[in-house]
Amino acid sequence: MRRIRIASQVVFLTLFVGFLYFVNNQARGYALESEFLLRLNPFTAVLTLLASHSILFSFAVTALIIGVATVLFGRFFCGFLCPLGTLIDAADTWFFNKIRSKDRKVPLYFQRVKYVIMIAFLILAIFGAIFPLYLGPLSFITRLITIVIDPVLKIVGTDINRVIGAVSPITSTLMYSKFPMTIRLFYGVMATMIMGMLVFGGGFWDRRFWCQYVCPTGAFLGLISRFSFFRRNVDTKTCNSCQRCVKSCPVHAIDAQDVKKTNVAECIECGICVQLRDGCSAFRFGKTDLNLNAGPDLKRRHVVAGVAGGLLLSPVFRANAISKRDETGRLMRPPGAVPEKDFLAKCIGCGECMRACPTNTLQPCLFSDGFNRLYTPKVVPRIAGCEEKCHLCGHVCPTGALRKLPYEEKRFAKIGTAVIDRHRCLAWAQNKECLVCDEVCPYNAITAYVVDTTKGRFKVPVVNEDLCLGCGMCEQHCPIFDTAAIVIYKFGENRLSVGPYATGAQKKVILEKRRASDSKHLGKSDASGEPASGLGGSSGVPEGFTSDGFVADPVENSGNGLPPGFLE
Amino acid sequence: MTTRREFIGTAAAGAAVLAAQYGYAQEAASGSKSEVFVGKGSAEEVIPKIFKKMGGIERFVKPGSRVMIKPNMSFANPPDWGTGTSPEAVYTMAKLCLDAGAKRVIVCDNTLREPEQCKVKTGIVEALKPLKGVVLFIPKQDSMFIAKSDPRAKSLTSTEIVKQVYETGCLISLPAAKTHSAAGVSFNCKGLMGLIKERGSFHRETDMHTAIPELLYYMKPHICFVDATRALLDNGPAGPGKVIELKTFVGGIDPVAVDSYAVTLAAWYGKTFDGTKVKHLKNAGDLKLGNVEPGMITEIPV
Repeated sequence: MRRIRIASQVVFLTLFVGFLYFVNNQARGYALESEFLLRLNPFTAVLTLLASHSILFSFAVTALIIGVATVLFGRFFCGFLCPLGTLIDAADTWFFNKIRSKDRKVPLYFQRVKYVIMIAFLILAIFGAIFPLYLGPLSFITRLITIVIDPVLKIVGTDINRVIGAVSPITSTLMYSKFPMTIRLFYGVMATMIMGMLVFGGGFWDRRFWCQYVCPTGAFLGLISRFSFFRRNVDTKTCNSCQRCVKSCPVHAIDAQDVKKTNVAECIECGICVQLRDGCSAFRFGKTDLNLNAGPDLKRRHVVAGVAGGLLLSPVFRANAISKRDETGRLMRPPGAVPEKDFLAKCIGCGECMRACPTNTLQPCLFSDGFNRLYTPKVVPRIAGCEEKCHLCGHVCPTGALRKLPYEEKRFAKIGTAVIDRHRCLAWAQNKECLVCDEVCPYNAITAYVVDTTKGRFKVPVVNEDLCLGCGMCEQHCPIFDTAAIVIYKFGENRLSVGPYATGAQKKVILEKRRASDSKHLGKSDASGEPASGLGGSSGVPEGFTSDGFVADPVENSGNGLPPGFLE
Repeated sequence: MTTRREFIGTAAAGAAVLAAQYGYAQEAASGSKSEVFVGKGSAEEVIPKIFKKMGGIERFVKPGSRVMIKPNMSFANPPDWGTGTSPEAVYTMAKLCLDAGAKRVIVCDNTLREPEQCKVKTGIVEALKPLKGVVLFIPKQDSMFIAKSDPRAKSLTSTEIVKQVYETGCLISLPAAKTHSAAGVSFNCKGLMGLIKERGSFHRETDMHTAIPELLYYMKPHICFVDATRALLDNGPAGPGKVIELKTFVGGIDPVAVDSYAVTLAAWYGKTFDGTKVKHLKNAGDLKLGNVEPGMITEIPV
């Protein structure tokens, strides 16, 4: 049984990491629901259901399967499937077991703590909030991989490549083109790493510290496995009460007074006790004997503590001025995000979307965005824009906080609006030749106008807010240092739980305008801001105008009607 | 054992050979007329023909050498938008180099948009798949660039350039024919901006029309083409704009002359120009980086 368990752990960890990296990517498209592994946790399903009063069908099915299996077979999830449990096992086996002193003992009643945490979470969910640091093992490990492990490994890999490059440049180039390690960096690395260290560092005190004392998912699964009929069974004939099983059990599920008695709520079915002596204990299917199966160590006061904690925290989450006033107005959610209230009820902050995002625009919210938004994704265009033809974030979201949008729909899921800072824009303020925002705009939402700036007539970028999606490509590529001269603000965002983002007729109009060449917009120009004159016309330029929408240089500009970069 | 004197002698000889090779392309422009080879048809037909007229690709690509091809693939658009070099042209060029004995062909462009998207959507990654020995290289890490400065440059006094440019024996520039919102047209000279690290400074700190020709101080393509399979006539460089099919290829060794000739191929923004009417090309001519005057360009049809 121990071998089967380890094999299963290795397989699931591989699958989990493999799915995280190799299944849904841009080249392969969205064929497989890679996020279904993140949906294995029934407790997450319960929480999102309670908080948002809705749940994805596929999520409900996977969670139900695992839930029913747990009711029947016990907490096998923790022993066999959970990738965090596997990693904790590995850390314990190879490191912490070797340094742990025997004097360090955690009082057993601390196991109750996880039930208190779990109940508090449930209460919070009823009031519509998912605890931001939601401690579900699957989302925790995803977040840790995304924000800490992945960038660190890639930085090391790049360094190695650089060393190779010093010896043989072409090998380094070949390696890079085969494995282009796009290093995505995230905010909150230190905080996430410290949390990770706490989770794994529990091994300093006890094996499977996290699973025993903290993990609310473990508590939930333990609670519902009270009457499971697959359980540890002790052969009374061969048992000589040697107590070795008690000592070997990593989660202290075996009663020290009566070794035949197992706490099914704690037992993760790791099978260590089975292999100690031949035949004295085994996992068998059988009728539940409540005398031999202890339940969770949960008294009324712990329930009360949990409920009180949840009730107390719920208003604390709402007591934040950021819900009244958002200083920056720049909290853009990924396209396809459901309305904010619903979003916060669904998003578990796992970071799967941030890991999938090819451009690195998705970043975790930190405390400055409000405590209740911790680790939820936001678009940070200055780091990178949102790629037009991509909606991986929505396709990997396990809880439906981001909708799965086809490309046809994503093009209309507006997340914000670009705004030009005329006092800092190179063209507006300094009359310098720059239309990079127009170049990179995938939606053709920026048009060049010739207008009177303070320094004279010049060709400047102007945003058409109806066409703008808020992707932030312009902000990313703006050549101004630090804060861009064109920035995305949240206003104008269009967030829906269901249905299309625009009617068919509206979409048609938007698409036509986006497709239309700039030169058609550059019809006539005057100081009132009408678009500049058509470059296609051979009849020339309307009177009084310097050019067909582009003035290369105001000094030389003498009404020659020339496109940019050309001379008389 | 090598004595110091021998070593210095060898090093000097090597440097002289390198200098001679490098100087070859530089020299082409001064004084004499530049030859520009023009052909109509598909990439497979025309590009080999152009090389034949130029005296064979072997003249440029030495067996066992490394070649860098610089196409346009900055925007994740399909080929028919005219914003990138056509995949067929890249394929043909890479194949010719391999057939000429090149050990490795590096197809390199520092894309503006997300690299993976650009690779796939432009169709270039698919087109290059059958070829062994071709690397599609999109430099995105700081360590892949080398800082350079040039005393001759007035505007672009320093910049960071892809290291591999200096580690390959032959640099082939293969841009698409398209307009550009700041530079007018974007051919070989403007296309070299795809081999530098940070393009923003061109807009921010320098006069673009001087800085673009000055890039030729830093790197001069040994072979210059313009892929005018299609031409993006307006709303460049990103599109979507008006695209016409020209099915024309222009080749030569003088980037300025090739660009200057390519300007006459179509009516950009609805107007016909010649090369001297494009600011950055005119500046390039004034800086004696190549021939821009139509009178100094000999057109050789193939």
